[in-house]
Amino acid sequence: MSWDKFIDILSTILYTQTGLFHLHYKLVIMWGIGLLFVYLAVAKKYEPLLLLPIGFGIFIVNFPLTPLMGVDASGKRELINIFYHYGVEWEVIPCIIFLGLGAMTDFGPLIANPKTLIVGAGAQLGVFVTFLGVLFCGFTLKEAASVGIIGGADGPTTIYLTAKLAPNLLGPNALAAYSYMAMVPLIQPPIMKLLTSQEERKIVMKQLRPVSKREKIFFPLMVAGVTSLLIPAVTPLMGMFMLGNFMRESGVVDRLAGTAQSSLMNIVTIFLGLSVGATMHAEKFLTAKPLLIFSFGLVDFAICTVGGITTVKIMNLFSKEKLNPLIGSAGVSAVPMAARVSQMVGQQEDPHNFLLMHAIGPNLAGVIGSASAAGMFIAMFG
Amino acid sequence: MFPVEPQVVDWGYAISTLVIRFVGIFVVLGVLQIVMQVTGRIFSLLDTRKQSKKLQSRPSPKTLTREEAAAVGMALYMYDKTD
Repeated sequence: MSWDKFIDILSTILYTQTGLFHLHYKLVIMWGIGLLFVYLAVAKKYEPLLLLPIGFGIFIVNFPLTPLMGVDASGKRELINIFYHYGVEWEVIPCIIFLGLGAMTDFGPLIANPKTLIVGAGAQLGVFVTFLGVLFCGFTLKEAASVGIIGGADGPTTIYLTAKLAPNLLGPNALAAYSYMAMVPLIQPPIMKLLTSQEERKIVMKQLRPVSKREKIFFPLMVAGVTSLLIPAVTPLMGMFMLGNFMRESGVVDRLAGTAQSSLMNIVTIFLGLSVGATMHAEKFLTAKPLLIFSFGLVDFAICTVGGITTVKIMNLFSKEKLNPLIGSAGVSAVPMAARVSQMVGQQEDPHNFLLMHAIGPNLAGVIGSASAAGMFIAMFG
Repeated sequence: MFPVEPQVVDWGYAISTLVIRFVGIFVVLGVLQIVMQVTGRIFSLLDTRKQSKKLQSRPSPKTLTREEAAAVGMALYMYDKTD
């Protein structure tokens, strides 16, 4: 074999079978973005369960010629594309995550104080305001709806709605939702302090009544029935959420409830994070839209926080038993982080005021509220 | 001016349907609240009745005579002594 022939074969191998000659600065930027999220997950512990697989997905998919998100010569989907197709495109994983969340959730504080449901509705204000803002910036109606739901601070709902209405925005939307959820302790306190007086922050709320086992068993059946009747589009999410909770509260299928809230949820979380991260290829991600989505996501969170607090203040005008307006910020879901923030800010004013259990009510109402908002958008554009 | 190509949007439709749907969320959660308050009261009532039935079915504490009380006291004292 001549030297020229050898060089020719070697260069062909290097060009067609390695990624060396296909590197591009955009890919390197995406590695940086992927590694940034991995850093936030590992070093800062920001939503590590999701941000770690998402960050790794972004990193690994942005290597040239990797057979991960495409279709091979014989038409078969490649590894992560299979997870994405059957898990996210088929809208299976967000619903399974809701099943697990239901199995993990104790609705006692919400059942004990049903008034807080209204706070969960008020905290959806940002979803609709952002929808208009995003629309104004040139997004389509479906894209605007999927960006608006970020403020609902509910990861699975955001992914479910985006996969349905604007799959092209799945990566940035999910990333914005989970990033801002992790940053709730940074975003919310200044807004909470700005909107409330010292006296309001010191309001001590009446202790919650005990909730019987029978009430807890009846609750998921009632919520599933009412929401399915009023917003059928949200039944896949709410139905699974309430099934998980019914399994937990019934007490007769502990094995199923245990599996739903641990093993099953962990398995689908891996597939979800990796699939979402892998949708963020440089060619799709490095455009103006993701930047706008991140900016609007932040505004969305802020307006939702304002909506929740304002709703509590309005309710206080008509109510004898005053609610502490700090629990309003927990209406953005982000369970239980937002409730912990209410407790933290409340204790800065009065160390003997325990708001955590009171804030869990609007927090759970926020989950129902954001799922309802998603259902409304699906009914509108789906 | 726009970072993304502007779309042709029927703003009247977009805003009015949004307002309706935002109010819709309040309606849905309001209905849930009412149903929860009603069922909460029913369950509280049932629990109260159940508890009062339990209390009624318990045997009423018998009042001891002075002699009986002295006998019980002595028996307990003797029992302690045997230890």
